Parts: sequence; C-alpha cells; structure tokens
Amino acid sequence: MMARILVIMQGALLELKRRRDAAVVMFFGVMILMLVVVGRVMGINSQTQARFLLDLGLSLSVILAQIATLVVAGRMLPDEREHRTIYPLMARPVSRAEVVIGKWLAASLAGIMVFGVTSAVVLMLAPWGMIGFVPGLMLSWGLQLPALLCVAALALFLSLCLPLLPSVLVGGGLVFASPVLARWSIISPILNVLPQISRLNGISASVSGATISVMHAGVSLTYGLGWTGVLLGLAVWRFSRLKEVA
Amino acid sequence: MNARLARRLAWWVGLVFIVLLGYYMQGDTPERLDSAGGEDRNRGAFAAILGGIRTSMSDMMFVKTERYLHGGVAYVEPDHDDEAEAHIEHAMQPDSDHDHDPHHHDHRDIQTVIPTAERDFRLGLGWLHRQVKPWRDPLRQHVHTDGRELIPWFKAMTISDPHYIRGYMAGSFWLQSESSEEALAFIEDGLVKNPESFQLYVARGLLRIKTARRINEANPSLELKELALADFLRASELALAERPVGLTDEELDDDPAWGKYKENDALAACTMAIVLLQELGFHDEARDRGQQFLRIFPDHVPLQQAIHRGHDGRNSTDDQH
Repeated sequence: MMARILVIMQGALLELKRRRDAAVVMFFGVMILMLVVVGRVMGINSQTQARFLLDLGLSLSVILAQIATLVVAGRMLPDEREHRTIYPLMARPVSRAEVVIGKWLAASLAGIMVFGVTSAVVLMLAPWGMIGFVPGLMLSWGLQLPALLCVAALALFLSLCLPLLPSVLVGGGLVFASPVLARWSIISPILNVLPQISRLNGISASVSGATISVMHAGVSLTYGLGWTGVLLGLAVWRFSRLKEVA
Repeated sequence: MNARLARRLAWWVGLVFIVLLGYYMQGDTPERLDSAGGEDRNRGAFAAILGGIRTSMSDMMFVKTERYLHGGVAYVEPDHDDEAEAHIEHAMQPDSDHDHDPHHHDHRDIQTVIPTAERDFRLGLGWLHRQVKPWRDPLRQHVHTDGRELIPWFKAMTISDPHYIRGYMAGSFWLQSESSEEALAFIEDGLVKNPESFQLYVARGLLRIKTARRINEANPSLELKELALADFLRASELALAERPVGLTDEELDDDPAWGKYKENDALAACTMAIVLLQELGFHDEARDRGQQFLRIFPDHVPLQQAIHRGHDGRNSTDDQH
C-alpha cells in the first residue's frame, strides 16, 4: 500500500514540476530573500529591528508556503478530473484512499519544501548577534509541519466539494482570516468547530519573546494532526462518492 | 457491534475530541501565553505594519479635520490639542465662565505651511501657490469653522485606530456641545479600549465638571464632582506612573513617548485633583497629594496656586471657628 501511495505522490510531484507553479513560488521566494538582504544591507541598529526582520521573513515564508500548499492541493484533483487523467490512474489496482493520500502527501511535501527553503534562507541571513536566543522559535517553526499537512488536507477536501475558485477562497479564508473573524462573537463559535490553522502559528509571538511551552506545542501538534486526519478522512469519503470514480 | 459501526463511532469520537481541543486552545494561543500577550501580538511584524497603516490613516484624518477647522488653511502647528489644552486650562479656573469659546487662543507663533511672501523664496511661484490654495496671513485672526461637523471624522479615526487618544479627546470635546451623554459615551468607549490612558480620564473628569456646572451653575452636583475627582485621581496616578523620570522639561517635551501635550494633561489632572479635593472638603488628602505633586512639578504655577488657595481657605475657615 505504501509503495503505491509513494508512486502516486511521485507522479503528482512530477506534474507539479511540469507546471509553472514552481516558478511562481520561486519568484516570491526570491522576493523574500531580497527583502532580508536589503534589510541587512541597509543596516540593523537594534534588537527590535533585528527581531522585526526575522519575524517578517519567517511570517512571509509561512504565508508563501501555505498559499503554495492551498493552491497546489486545491488544483490537484479538479485538474485531473477536468483533463480526465484520473481515469487511467483509477484503472490501475489502487484504492480511492491511496489516490487521495498520495496527492495529499505530494501537496504537503511541496509546501514543506517551500517553507523549508525560504525559512532556511531567512534563518541563515538573520542577524543572530543582535537577536539573541529565541526560546520558542524552534517549536513554533516545527509546528508549521502539521500546519502545512492540515492545509493540504483542507484544500484537498474543499476541492472535492466546491469549484476551484470558491474552494481556494474558502480555504484561504479559513487559513488566513480566521484570527480576524474569531474576534466577532457571532462568528467565533462557528469557527471553533472548524480547523483554525493560524492557531499553530506562533512565530510572531515567539520572536516577540512569548514563551511557548512543550505542553502547548504538544496540544497544537495534536490539534493539527487531528484535523489533518479528519479532513483527509472526509476527502477520501468524498472522493469515493464522486460519480466518475465510484 | 459490527466493524462499520465501530469505525463510525471512532470517527465521531475523534471529531468531537478535535473540536473540544479547539475550544481548549481558544484561550491558549501563543499570543496569550504570557501576561504581555496583547503587547506581543501587537509587536508582530504584520501587526506592526498594519498598525502603522491604521495610525497613519487616523493621522491623515486628523490633519484633514485640522485643515477644515481653519477654513482649509494649513498651519504648521496642529491645534486640536491646543484647543483641548485651552479647554483644560479654562476648566481649571474654578471661577471662570465655562461657556466661553476656548478656541480664541493665541496663534501669534503659528505659521502657515505655505509661507508668507516675505519668507517665500519661490517668488512668483509662491504667489501662485497662495492664490490657488486656501491661504491666510498667519498674522491675521484665524478663521474657525464649526467643529461639530467633524464629529463623524473623529469617530472614523478611532475606528481606524482604537488607540488614537487624540481622536477621542478632540471628538468628545466637539461632541459635548451637542450632547454631554454622547460625549461621555465616546470617552468611555475610548476607556474600554485604552484603560490605561490617563488623558481619557482627564477628558472624562473635565466633562463631568462641565456637566455638573451646566446643570446647576451655583450648586454643581456633588455626585458628579466626586466622580470627576475619582477620574482626576486615577489620571494623576496613571500619568505619574507613565511620566519618564530624570528628564528636563525640554527633554520631556521632545520625548516621543511623552511630549508637551501629555505633560500638560498630567498637570491638569494633578491640579484638578487638588482643586476638587479641596472643594469636597478632603483638605488633608489635598495637602498630602499637593506636596507629592509639587515634588514632581515644582515650577507649575496653577498647581502652586491651587494648593495655596486650599491653605488660605482652610486657614480662614479655622480663623472663623
């Protein structure tokens, strides 16, 4: 089973390489790199400025990786259905769940690669001499892994329920706008029963000096992986009931 | 129980668990992990950028209201605070006429953004600039339009930036000419969002004093005076806690986190607290607090006068007894 999932994942990654998505992501990645380089060249005079630059760079990496994951995962199955390339795949001895999990793994891996590369550049160029030790940074950085897995599962599920653009918009709204929407008391209870990926993003808080305990990281990890499982299960369930693959 | 049912049950249990975990995490987001959580969130890079945009929008609106108040003429020195300042100084005089228009203050030192012909090196271009833009000789009396029309702008600037204290202060100042209740509600809205802003307590105290005197000039409401006293005492405590120590007057005026407006509001809070303590008969507390304030503001004449007035009043009362 695992081998079949890995083959599907490799196929999906190859497809991503063929498309121009990687070039777009690379363009924005270079923008982040330039921002950090310009920040360093212009000169950083205080710890506040240094932390601001680190926060901005890492937050942009998170946003870029989440957008890339949303778009990649959201386009995978609808594109295959539209171009009817899903039929040859379904004709092979693979289960519906293996197809969905393979695609999800590919989208997640793409997002993790984007985050890994861009954040590594930011971390390498950050003025650590001024920033000093940031205790919760590694934990909040690591929590982006379940966050991206969850984003991919969410986008995959939404792409099976809605047309492409609405699915990306709803997914984007849940990923990026939930902290703002949660401030409205009417919307807050509804949001609590939906996945709020922003809860896994503690980068700004940790760079600003907030302490992030291992307990909090554990709860966040459980939350992220739990929602990933739920959304992936829903995606498999939804995919199995599509007319053209049923 | 068959396998299918067990799977469904496990599925629902997992879903409920994850939703409950979401509720648990509601109060445990990284921003709220320590007592300075709100500050940490506001120090985030995006929060700083967006916060800067919000404040800039409020500043732009404030400048627009400033121009409007002077018939479109742009002056170098913003005057909303001066007006609020005049209002405070005016209210600090217990015997003064509080219906007097506080806007007719001294503008002699204020210059226009477009310079006068004598100061303008652009010659013909400067003349053209003065002809096509609203301009008035700064030596002539300023034209003041009715600020009540600007009330929605003040509301808009506090929506844009709920921490824009100047907006609350100037807005409530203009609003009180329409309705004291509305002005009070506006200041209290500001206090909900900025509970540590001593300037808003000063504004509320002054508004209460003014309302008390408007209702009954000869015998102002004791209850409102007591409420105003509580505001001034709270304002003075917050102001003295916030005021930087060890700086000269010039350094305090130039301090970006403090400045002359805050200094004047702090002085107003202290002076009004002393005046009201004496008026309400708390002479011992007035003396103690007066000594404390004088150590911090040794050269402030109105404060000295308020304290001496209290001493004189008490001595004359003792003599009569």
